[in-house]
Amino acid sequence: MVGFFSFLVKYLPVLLEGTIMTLQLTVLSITFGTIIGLFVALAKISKSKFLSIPASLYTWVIRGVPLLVQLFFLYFGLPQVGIELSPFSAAVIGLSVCSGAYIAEIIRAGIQSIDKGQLEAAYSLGMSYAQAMRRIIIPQAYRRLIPPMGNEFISMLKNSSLVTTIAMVELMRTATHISSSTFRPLESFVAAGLLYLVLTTIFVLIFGRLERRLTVYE
Amino acid sequence: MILVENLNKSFGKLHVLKDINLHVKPGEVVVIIGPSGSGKSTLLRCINYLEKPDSGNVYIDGEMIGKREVNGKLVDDSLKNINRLRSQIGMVFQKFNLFPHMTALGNVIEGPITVKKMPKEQAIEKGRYFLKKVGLADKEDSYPSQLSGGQQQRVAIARALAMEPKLMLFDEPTSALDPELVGEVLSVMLDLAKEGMTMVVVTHEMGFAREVADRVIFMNEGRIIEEGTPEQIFLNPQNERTKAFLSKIL
Repeated sequence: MVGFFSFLVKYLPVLLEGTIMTLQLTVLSITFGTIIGLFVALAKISKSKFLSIPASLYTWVIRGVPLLVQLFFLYFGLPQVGIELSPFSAAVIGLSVCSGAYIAEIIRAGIQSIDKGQLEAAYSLGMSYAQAMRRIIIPQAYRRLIPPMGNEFISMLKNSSLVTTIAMVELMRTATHISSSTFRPLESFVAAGLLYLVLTTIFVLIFGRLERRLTVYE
Repeated sequence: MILVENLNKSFGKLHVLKDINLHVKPGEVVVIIGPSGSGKSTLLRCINYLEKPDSGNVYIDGEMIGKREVNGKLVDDSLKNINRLRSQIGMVFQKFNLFPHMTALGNVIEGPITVKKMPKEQAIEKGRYFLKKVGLADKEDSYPSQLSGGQQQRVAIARALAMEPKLMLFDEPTSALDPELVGEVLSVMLDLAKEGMTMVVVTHEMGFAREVADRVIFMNEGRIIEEGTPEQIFLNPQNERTKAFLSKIL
C-alpha cells in the first residue's frame, strides 16, 4: 500500500497530463458530436427522403461498426489514399463522428417524446417548422436529453481510451508507458482506473445537478 | 369569413369527411355537435390546415388555404403562406397544449414575438391585456403545471387572442375539464361571442350552444345532416338521427 502511494506521488504529474488530454478529447468529441447529432436527428425525422435516408445510413453504419475499426480506418486506412491525419485529428474525428451517431438517436428520441399537440399549437399560432422546433420543441426535449447525454458523456470518456491504439498520448497511453518502463503494470493501471473513476464521478455529479435545475416547471 | 367547398378527408380507408360545405359569416358563432367520430374535430382541423384535405377547398376571408392557383391549376401553396393564414386563425384545443416551459405570460407573448416580430415590451403589454381579459391578470408568472385546467384553457384562449385572429376555432374546449371548471371557460367564450368574434365551436355543451350559437350544425358519419338556429335544432329537429342524438344528450 505504501509502495502504491509513493508510486502514485512519483507518477501523478505525468498521469495528470494524460488525464487532461483525455478530458480534452472527450469534451471536443462530445461538442462536435452534439452539433452533428442535432442536424442528423433533424434530418432523420424530416419528411424529405434526401435528408432522412443519408442520416439513417450514417447512424446505421457508425453504430454498427466497432469504434476501434473506425479509428483504424481513419489513422491506418486513409493514408493509403493519400489522406494523412495526425493522431490527434484522427482521434477527434473518430470520436466525434461516433458520438454524433449516438447523440443523434438521443436527440431524435427526445424530440419525438414531445406531445404532438405542442407542434400543433405552435403551427396554429402561425409558426414555421423551424420556429416551432427552436422555440417550442427543442427547449422541452432539451431537459429530457440530460440523463441520456450524461450516459453518453461517460461512455465517450471511457471510449476515448481506445485512441491509445492510434498513437494518441492520453491517460491510457501514459499508463502503458509507465507500466513498461517501471515493470509495475498493477500500480500503473490501478492508477489510471482511479483517474477515470474520478472523472466519471465528477460528470455524474454535474449532470445530476443540471437535471435537478431544469425541472423547475414540471 | 370561412367558406368550405366539397371537402373530403380520409384516414386510410376511413372516410372521415364527406362532401362538406359550410359558410360562416363574419361575427357568426357556429356550434358543431354530433356523436364522437362524426368528423367534427377533423373539419375544424382542416379549416386551419392542421389536416390536409384530400379534396375540396377552404377559403379564409376569400383566400384559399393550402393551395394557390398557377396558370389555372391548383398547386400546394408555400408553407410561408399557409403559416401566414394560420396566424390569422386562433385555435383552442381540447388538451390546452400550453407550452409547459413558459409562464402564462410567456405563452401569450410567444406568438406575437416569434411570428409577428413584435417588440417585447409591446407584446408584454398586449399579453397582460389578454390575460386580464380572461381573468388571469394575477397568474402571469405561473407555469401551466401550477394552474388548474380551467385556468390553463383560459391562458390558451388568451394565447390565441394575442395574435388578434380574424376567427377562433374551439375544439371541444371544455371536454377535458372537471365539471366545476367548465363555467369559467364558457363565460370567457360567451364574452368573446358578444364582442362579435367569428367562432366555430365543437362542443358537447348544449347549454352553451343554445345560448350563444347563431347556428347549430349536426354532423354524423362525416356529413352535415342538419343545420339551423338553436331553436330549430333543439326544439324541432327534422332528421331522425338528430332526434336520436339529442334525446340521449339533453
